[in-house]
Amino acid sequence: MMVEYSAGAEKRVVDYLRNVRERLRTTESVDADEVANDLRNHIERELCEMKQPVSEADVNAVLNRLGPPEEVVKEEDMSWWAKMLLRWRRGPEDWRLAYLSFGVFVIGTLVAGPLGILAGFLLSRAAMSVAGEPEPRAKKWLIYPALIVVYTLAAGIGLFWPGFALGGLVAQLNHGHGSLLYKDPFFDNDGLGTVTMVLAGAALGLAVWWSLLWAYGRRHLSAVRTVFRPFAEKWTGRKFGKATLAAWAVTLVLASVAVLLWVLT
Amino acid sequence: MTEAFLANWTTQLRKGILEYCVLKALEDGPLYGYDLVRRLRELQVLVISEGTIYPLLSRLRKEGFLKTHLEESSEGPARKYYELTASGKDMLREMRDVWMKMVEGVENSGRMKGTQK
Repeated sequence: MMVEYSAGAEKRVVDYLRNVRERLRTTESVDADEVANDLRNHIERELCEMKQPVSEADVNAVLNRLGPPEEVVKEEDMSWWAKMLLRWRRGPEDWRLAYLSFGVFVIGTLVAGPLGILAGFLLSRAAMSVAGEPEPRAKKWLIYPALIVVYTLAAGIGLFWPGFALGGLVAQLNHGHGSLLYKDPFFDNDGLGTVTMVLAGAALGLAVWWSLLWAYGRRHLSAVRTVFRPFAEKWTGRKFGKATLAAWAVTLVLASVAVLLWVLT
Repeated sequence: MTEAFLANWTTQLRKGILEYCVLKALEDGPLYGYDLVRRLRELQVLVISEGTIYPLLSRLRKEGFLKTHLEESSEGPARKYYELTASGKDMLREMRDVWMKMVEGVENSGRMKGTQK
């Protein structure tokens, strides 16, 4: 017995089967065509017992018993790439943003270099804000790469630039003015004295800069935690204070060695 | 709260034994897919949606536990019947053993004499 559909009823069945088939194609454990045909037969078998032509409400009743496509083909049965695509297309915003940030970071870095990294970083920060805590482990691996790269670069430059700057300045002074720092031929521009002096200058730059940062960081813990979120959530500044003291100690040692070498010669 | 907990537990239990129920329903002979779903529906084995049965049947067929054949029908297109293969019968036997042991074990667990006073 053939089923007669009223307006809209057939479209509802066609749409349902198309959605199911779309999901079925992503599974490896079942035959998509076979299941779609079985479902069609089931639907028609139920509908042919109803008053013809069947209404959209009749169709909805049958489809409701069968369940929505996402229940018929469960996500855990789908292949990994299909799950990824599905989350991208239909998933909640936090997942979409996570995938988008990762995609922009990878492709943007290859295509646009620093701008791509920056774009990926901004999207990752947005994804992190939307996701909230705690985050699923998989999502972290989508969000963190851009954050780690940018934080590492920012922290590296932000922490060590005075060392390079002051060390470079000392080297430049010695190089530009001949033996300005040391007159003795033993301490020529390539000598041990120059190297020690440059290192002492770099250590001094770091010690001074880190002292300033430490003083600021201790007063504004939340600012540091916000800038380097989520990796600095437990930052207290104690370890940084120890590093600053170490920088001062290294500065003193290097400066003492440099002076000693100068006196000895 | 209690009702929700029980409903969730029942759903999980039904999901877990669905394959066994399908194979068991076919133990007495081939069944038309639609009739199989109706039988399971009557037994209240189906969890939420009847549509989940068809992917399961396809999976069991691909695993070699079921086979299908078409039979002409006076009411419409040819009907597909599912039946157990020899491998499916073996699997059903093994699942039954596991199931019986599980039921027996669970029932006896409350009567075990042990450290409890």
